[in-house]
Amino acid sequence: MLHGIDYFIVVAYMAGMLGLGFYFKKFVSSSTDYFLGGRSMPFWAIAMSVVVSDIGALDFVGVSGQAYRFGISPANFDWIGSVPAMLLAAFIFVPYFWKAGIFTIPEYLGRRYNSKVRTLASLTWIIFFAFNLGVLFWASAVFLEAIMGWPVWLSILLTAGVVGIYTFFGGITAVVMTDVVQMIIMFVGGFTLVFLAFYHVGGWDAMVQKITAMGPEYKNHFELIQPTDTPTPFPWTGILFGLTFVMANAYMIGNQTVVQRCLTAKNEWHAKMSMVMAAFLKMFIPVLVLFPGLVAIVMLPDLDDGDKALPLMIKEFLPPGLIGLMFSAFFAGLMSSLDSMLNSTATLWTKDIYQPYIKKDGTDHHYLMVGKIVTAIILLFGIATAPVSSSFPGIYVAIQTFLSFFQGPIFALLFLGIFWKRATQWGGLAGLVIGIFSSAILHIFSDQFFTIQDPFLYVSWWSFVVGLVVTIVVSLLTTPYKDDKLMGLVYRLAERTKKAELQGGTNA
Amino acid sequence: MLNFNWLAGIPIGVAKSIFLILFALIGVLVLFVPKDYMYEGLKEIKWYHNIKIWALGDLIFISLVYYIF
Repeated sequence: MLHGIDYFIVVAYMAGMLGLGFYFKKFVSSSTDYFLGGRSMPFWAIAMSVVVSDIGALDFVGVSGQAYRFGISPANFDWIGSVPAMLLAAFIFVPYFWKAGIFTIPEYLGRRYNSKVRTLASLTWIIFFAFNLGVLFWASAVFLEAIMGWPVWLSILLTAGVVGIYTFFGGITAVVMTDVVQMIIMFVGGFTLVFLAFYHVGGWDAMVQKITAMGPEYKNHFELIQPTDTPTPFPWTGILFGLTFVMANAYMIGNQTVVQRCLTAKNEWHAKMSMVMAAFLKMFIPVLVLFPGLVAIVMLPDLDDGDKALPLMIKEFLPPGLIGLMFSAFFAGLMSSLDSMLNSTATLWTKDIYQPYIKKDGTDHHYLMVGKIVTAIILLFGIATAPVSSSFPGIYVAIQTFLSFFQGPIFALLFLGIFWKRATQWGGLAGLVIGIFSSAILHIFSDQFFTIQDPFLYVSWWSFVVGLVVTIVVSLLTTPYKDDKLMGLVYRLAERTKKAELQGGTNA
Repeated sequence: MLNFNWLAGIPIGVAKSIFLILFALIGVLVLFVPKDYMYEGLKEIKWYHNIKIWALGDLIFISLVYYIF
């Protein structure tokens, strides 16, 4: 499938990423540089990094496959499942996180609630990232073996080598700046394929006409809002309550890899603006990953597996050279996800576990070295566990399920933490633990609670509700923190307190 | 109940309106954000530093997408 020029482009891309990432080594001299880029990043770099980190190599294939089967409704995840949450993050959460000078989301939860909440949240993310790394390595390598003919071990060692070196030496600065280039490559490669695919199919209108003429099962293929009894996993009620209100917010506000980038901003304005710009860029993602799957319905109508749509479209429509660019885009998706996980895991471990529990009084250089060592260890762990994941076909689903248990309750804690000063430490801890427990129960007994096949959107909504209610009830029964302790952690508390004092003074 | 079956009777057109109303509501909330809060962190202020403008641009874009599809 690949020609000499394509191999040259892929190898040149890898070498370029390595060189660029290695260049940023000279900007790392403290733990703040390593974990937060010295808080010097401009909004546009952060925005591009946030968007590209969210798109993995497998998303290209998986989302195209979903479009082939379900039409445009999976685009809800990048549109309503991202934009409102990113604006909420931009206006409310990110400025408070940035001003608090935190390194991690669990650190905020620790300050707002207590250290137990911080540790539980941090360990959950560390476990998720560590195991997900191996799964991602393996799944991507298997995919590359199928379409490029590369041995699995070569893909794993090549990507791990390049990503590991620049993340180890350059920290988050290297991660963000390589992401910028990776996003440009991803957009150029993706849009080229979309343009050529539409050219072959006769344009958008022709494609819609041909697909809708294929039969009644295609009548909802161009509807974003699907009925509640839809055969797809995306009924509008699930999209609204589960995705828009909970999962999107939990991801954009509670995910360390996303928020850590905003914390690298050079000032509060750049932190806010990064999310607003990321929301804009995010709206183009369905065009890249979804439209090829739609065109494939017309051009390749008899596929037994929708996931074959994208590789076949590349083979069918892209000339030599552009195929290499498209594969560089795959690597860009893979590498941007891997580097985010590596750096975020190192940050979580160093700041939330090592510093509070293992060595409290270390020098800044010591924590910088710990961060680098953890980056290397996690990378080796990912490489070592990659082949293991092949023995457990359900491991990817199991890991995603494990994270989904956590999403609803963690957003309940963040939401109440920032908007309700009465939320107490014990309310937060109870809400988190019982919320996670409720997720597990809803998942295990899903047959009895839900009528659709894969009710993950509903599970996240109801676990959010449980987390919210439990936190409120327990908070009302326990003693809250004084306002002084919550300054800078609760939305406009300082302004409200000042206003109350002024009114009190005027009344007196 | 947990499936939101009680909302099954709502026509798709109404459901679509709910999404559009949500975007409009977010737009109104964005308009209510205090002006000085938009510029915190900046020393020199230009009109294009107003984050509200760009946020409303995002919302108009996504509203159009949901209106069309």
